[in-house]
Amino acid sequence: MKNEEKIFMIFLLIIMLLMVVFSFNYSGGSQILPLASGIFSALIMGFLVTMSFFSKIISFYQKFETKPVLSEDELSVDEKKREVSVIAWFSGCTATIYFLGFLIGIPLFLFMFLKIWAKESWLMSSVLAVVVLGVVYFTFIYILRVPLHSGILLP
Amino acid sequence: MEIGMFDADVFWATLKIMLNARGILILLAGTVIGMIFGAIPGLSGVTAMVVLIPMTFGMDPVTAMLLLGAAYGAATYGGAVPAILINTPGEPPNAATVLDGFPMSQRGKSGTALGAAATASTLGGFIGLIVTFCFIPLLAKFVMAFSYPEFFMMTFFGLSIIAVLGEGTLLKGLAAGGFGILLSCVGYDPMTSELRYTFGIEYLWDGIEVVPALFGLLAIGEVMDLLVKKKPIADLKTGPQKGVGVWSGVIATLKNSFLVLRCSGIGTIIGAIPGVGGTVAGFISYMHAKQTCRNNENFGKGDVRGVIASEAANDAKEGGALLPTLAFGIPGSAGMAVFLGALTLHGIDTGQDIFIANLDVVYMLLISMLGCHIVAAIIGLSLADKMALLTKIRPVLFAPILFLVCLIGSFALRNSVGDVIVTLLFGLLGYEMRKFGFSRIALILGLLLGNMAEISFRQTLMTEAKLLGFFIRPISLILFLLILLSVILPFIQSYRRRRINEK
Repeated sequence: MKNEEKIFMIFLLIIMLLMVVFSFNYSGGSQILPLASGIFSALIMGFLVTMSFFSKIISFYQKFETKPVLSEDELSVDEKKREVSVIAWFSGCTATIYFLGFLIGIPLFLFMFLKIWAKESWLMSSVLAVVVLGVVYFTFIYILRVPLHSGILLP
Repeated sequence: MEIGMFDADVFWATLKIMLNARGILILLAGTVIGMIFGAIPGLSGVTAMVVLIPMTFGMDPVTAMLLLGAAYGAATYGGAVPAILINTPGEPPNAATVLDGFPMSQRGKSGTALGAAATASTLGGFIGLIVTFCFIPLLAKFVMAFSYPEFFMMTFFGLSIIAVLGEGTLLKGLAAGGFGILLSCVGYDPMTSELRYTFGIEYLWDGIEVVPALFGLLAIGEVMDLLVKKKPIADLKTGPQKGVGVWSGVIATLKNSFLVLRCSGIGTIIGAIPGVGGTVAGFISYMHAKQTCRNNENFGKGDVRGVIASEAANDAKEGGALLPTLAFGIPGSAGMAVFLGALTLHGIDTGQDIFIANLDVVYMLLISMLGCHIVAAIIGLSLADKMALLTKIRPVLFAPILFLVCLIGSFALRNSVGDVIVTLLFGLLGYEMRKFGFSRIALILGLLLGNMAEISFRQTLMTEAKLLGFFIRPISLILFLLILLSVILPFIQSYRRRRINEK
């Protein structure tokens, strides 16, 4: 088991434990499900974390461990770089939509992502950005009359 | 007239309305609109009906029901298409379809999966509607026997599926399921209105919405993986083969007709119980298929029977859901609530009256939903080849658009930008869970059913006073025994298999 997986499991365990601790503040009936599910999941996660540290010593742990769908070993250096950049691009896109709205965020993200990240041609990047914006506008604003978020920075 | 009595004259008169040129055109339009709305993540049959209701104001009630019934009935099949091709269920009831549908696409068998989904949906829809209308009096009694303990057992039944999911390991699945239940506690306590885990954030008062979480966990996790690996969904060497796949899916469904029948039965019964929902129907049928089919080791890795089971059930549930809506005026789901609203708008009362004064409306709903399944199957089967090509598109062109569709779909549900942020956060969580072998479906099940389980559990304790209340009612007890059986059965099967292998 790689460090990245251990960190992920510890992160989840901390969240679960914090939620269990917070659940003590709730009154009677409101406490039952958070406490029960929190303790249940934290116990299992705690067991998995503990086993991950002792997996080499305790051989029976192997019974519980199957090969993940995509193990860290399979990621090359390039893929790891791409992983970080994709997370950054997606977070940036969400932030742009939050601040500037869908109608600016969508073409901006799509054009920049295709041109800079995917290294597509100017034509392909522009055409896709415009077509997707057109489809979104037609479907959501024209047909469905959904008032798309216009951004907190714009009036 | 008593509920469930068949009136041949009214039936034929209603059928004639549908089979004239105008009727066929309306059926076609409704089906196509329903399929499109079902296939776009974030939209659904409910959205399709909401959009179409204003267009029905100028129509008579029978024609209005033709349009709405067709749109709603076709949406569930539409939802199976993105579930199979891009790991994104168009609607939550299609969530169980991704378990085997998407792995089939990855193995270049998307045509087979789409063919099987179209056939199973059609057969399931037919069985659900016919069974419901043939056994209305019997089903009505069964539905009326359901109370809080039975609701709790049904949701617990849904949660027990975590134990048999193929994705990841059992312990990781249980941890993910428990975490999902924990996350379902965010927001107002449904019984006391006490705020839990909101930390002063107003958005969290209503809890975590399931659909944005679903899009994030399944679709965005997949999109990120596609971009990181820069490979199309289907292996290009074994990619979708023209023509052959679709018909092999149809044949596979017909070969498994007994499975279709069983899963449609499960879907119909669960659909008839208000508040349980199609997602539970899909998962329980999937679990049933996995536990009862021979050579079940490929379930979760791309077994066509997984697609057949979930699709048959979630289309059959629509028939069942009509029962409480029409007979008691109790909408079992959001879709049925919209139906009820549409009936009221057209001046039609539900309950016993509809079976006396407006039997033609009841028959039109039945016929339109049957008709739309036939039309949807024809469209689905003839376009399956083309749709399967989606899995061969370069991910850099396709993935960012899918990401944006998920964000817009999440927003469109409640016009909330908070849902967009939740989609991204669950997307990151889904990607990491996928990477490290944690079951994302288990988390979704926990999130979806946790709240329902909590309400019914506490209501049982309030009404029955003790825990014994869960076991003294016959249906509740039977459901409890079925849960035990479904959890223990995989272990017995695995033990038997090991013994056979040792010999």
